[in-house]
Amino acid sequence: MRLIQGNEACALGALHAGCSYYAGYPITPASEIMEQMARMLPARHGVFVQMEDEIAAMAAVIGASWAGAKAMTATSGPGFSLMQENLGYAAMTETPCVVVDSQRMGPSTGLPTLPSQGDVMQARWGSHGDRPGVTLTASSVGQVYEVTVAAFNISERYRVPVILLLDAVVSHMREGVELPDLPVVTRQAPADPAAFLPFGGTDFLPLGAGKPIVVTGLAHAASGLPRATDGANAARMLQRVLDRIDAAGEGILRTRALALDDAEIGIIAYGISARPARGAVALLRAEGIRAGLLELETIWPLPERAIRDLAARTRLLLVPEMNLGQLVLAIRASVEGRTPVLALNRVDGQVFPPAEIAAVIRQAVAGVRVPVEPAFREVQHAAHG
Amino acid sequence: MPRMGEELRQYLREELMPGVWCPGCGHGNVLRGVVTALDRLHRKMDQVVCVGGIGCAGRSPFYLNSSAMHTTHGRALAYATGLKTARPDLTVLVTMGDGDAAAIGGNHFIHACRRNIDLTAIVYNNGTYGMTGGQQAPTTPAGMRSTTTPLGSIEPPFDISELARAAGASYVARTTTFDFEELPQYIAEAIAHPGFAVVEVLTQCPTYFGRLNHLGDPATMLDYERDLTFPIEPMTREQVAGQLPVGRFRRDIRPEYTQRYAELCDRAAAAAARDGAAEEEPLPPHECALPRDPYEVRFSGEGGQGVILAGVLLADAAGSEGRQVVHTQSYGPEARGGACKSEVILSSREIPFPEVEQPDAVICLSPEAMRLYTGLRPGGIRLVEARACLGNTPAAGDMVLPLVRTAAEAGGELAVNVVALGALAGRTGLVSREALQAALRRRLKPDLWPLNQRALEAGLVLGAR
Repeated sequence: MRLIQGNEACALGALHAGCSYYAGYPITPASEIMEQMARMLPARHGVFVQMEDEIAAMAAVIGASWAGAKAMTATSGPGFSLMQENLGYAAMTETPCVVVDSQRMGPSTGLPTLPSQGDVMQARWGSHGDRPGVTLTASSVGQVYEVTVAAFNISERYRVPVILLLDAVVSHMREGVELPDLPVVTRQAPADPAAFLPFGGTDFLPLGAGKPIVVTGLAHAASGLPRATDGANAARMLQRVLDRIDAAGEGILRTRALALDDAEIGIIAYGISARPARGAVALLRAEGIRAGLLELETIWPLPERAIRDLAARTRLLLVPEMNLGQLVLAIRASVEGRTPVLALNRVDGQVFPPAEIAAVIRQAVAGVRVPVEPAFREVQHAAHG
Repeated sequence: MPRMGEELRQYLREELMPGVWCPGCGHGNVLRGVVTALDRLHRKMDQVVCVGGIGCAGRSPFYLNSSAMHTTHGRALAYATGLKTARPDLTVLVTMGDGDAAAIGGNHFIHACRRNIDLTAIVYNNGTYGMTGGQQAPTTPAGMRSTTTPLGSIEPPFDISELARAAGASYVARTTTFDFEELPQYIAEAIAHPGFAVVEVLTQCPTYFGRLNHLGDPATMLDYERDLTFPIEPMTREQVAGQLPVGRFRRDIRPEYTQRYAELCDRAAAAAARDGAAEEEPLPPHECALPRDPYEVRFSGEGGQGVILAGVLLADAAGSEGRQVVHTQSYGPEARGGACKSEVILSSREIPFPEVEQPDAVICLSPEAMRLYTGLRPGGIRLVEARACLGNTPAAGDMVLPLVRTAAEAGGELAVNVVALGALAGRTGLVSREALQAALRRRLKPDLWPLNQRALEAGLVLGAR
């Protein structure tokens, strides 16, 4: 067992997954990932580059990925905003890469050392246009390690950029962990390089491997050559990637269940908020309230089936988020009124205490509306139907 | 001008031609310079990657029969940096417009110059944004018209070559599409140059820059380029006041980035082989039950007092004795000063919520932390540094201890965190001396061991007193 920090677990997970390239720009609370990579990559003959800003970091990661490297960067909200332009390019060019965003409270410089879950929608929709937005989260140090490996594996297998949302607490938290020997997936070279179409499937040839390859952010044909005015082709090329992610299904939809078998009340939480949710489940169970937790490790695409199944057999769902209600919008859309979905939100940089989550559920169960306190805004919505 | 030689067609991706460039555009002349240079250098096209930005010049990679990355506006150099650092053996050319290089990508441009990474940046400078319709560029000469400066530009233009030189590019040349011989020569020199090389080419945009400024047809615009410039060496034309110098401004050999990085990797690998970590004997599980399970500890003080390290050492030591542990930290923007805290939860079971809610033990090292971080579980203990009481009234039951003085006596005030940790362990028995000693060795550099071992012993005695 080792005592390691969340950010260190992220770096170790990346190395286990075969990451050989890191480009980044320092920012709290993600910098330790960068520092670890600066320490560990050179001795392994991997590449570490400190770029001039996050725009450049994202660009370098994509360039390195097309050189054949498993590449990553890590940042926080302000840097993640700067990466959106090139993240869109990574999506358009089906470039495997991993982007870690350790969230801090925004907007703007905000509360730079305090945690947040404010980048949930940015992770999904931050760049212009539509794209798959595969996004994973973690609530413990051990999970950071596992999810980082998963992020690389998904990215390599499906040729999509994968975003890993951490936060200031998970990044800086230290826990004793065993690092399991997880399976590693690596992008596959085409069986017949001569017939290789760079945007035909998920096989991959890097630049400089004997066959000239064209990569462009313009809409393009399977050959890579630009088709900048052929809308039908552009729509078809995008749809292939979206279909690929849909078809991956359970392979990328990671969830964890706690006490859900007989649950009447479901908490749906992700990232750091899943920790107090665990505590709340224990508190409520001790009082005889049958609460359970569905923890989402994958938030995009949303594990809709698991959420609908839970909605169908619970009286109430609660979604605690350290934002003013982001993932809950998609959860409500999935639930389609099967059961009431409460949102519990705060944007003061404080993690929900377990008692706060438990209190909301206790009062909701008793049919009492929860008072709105300055520290957190609780939004109670009527059931849709 | 002579027609392009048949032997050069192998370098072109003719299926994408004719491309986006207007009749009379100078960009084709620049591309001729590029393929002529590649031919002279006998570069194999499968080992060449051309990276382009956005705009007319950014399209160049499509027309070269090499691998191509057509990237985002201004970012081509950053993409190329990723590619080149991952594959230093490739020949990487970067084609950019003046807007790419000097406006939106100006930051990437100066940093690529500074890093001296072996890329060849070819800046097609036509003094305007052609693809978007002839707007002002950062290179539009003062007084010249564009669609966003209909009355003439009032801004001084960037001198891209001067900028490249100042930022540290090790090869810098400027030429024009008029200078038929120099253009391929400079590009060939730049590609062969082992470092960051910039070739700025003044090129004509008859569709916008020429038309809006009444510079005549493309051929007349070549005369304009000739008259705008003077060659620094050899002086084939006479210099007139206000003319831009053209020629090779710099060709220095200085350490190249990917080369230096490879050397750094070798050093790091050698050091890693030398310092292979020795496996430690695992400690037996801690025998004593926790005073409360889970047990919550808060170290508080100001930045620079080692508050976070104290928490890490406690968590590390307790974890090594088989406890479940979680450590969290909270701090402000200050690296030194400013209140901060470092919290540890110890338990015999899995810890659902990682933050301390009501600490069983609190250590206060600074007056501000003593005021700010309140709340102690009834029956809990608080160890307070004597100086932290400055302006604060200790609560009944506080253990006020001379932690700083004890650290100073042990050899340095810096070790106050370890004295405090020792005092906590001495008072509560949360962790064994052996586990703390081992954690110190794991977490600190050997030259800091003696001081911190003494501080730990002094703290243990102080706490047990």
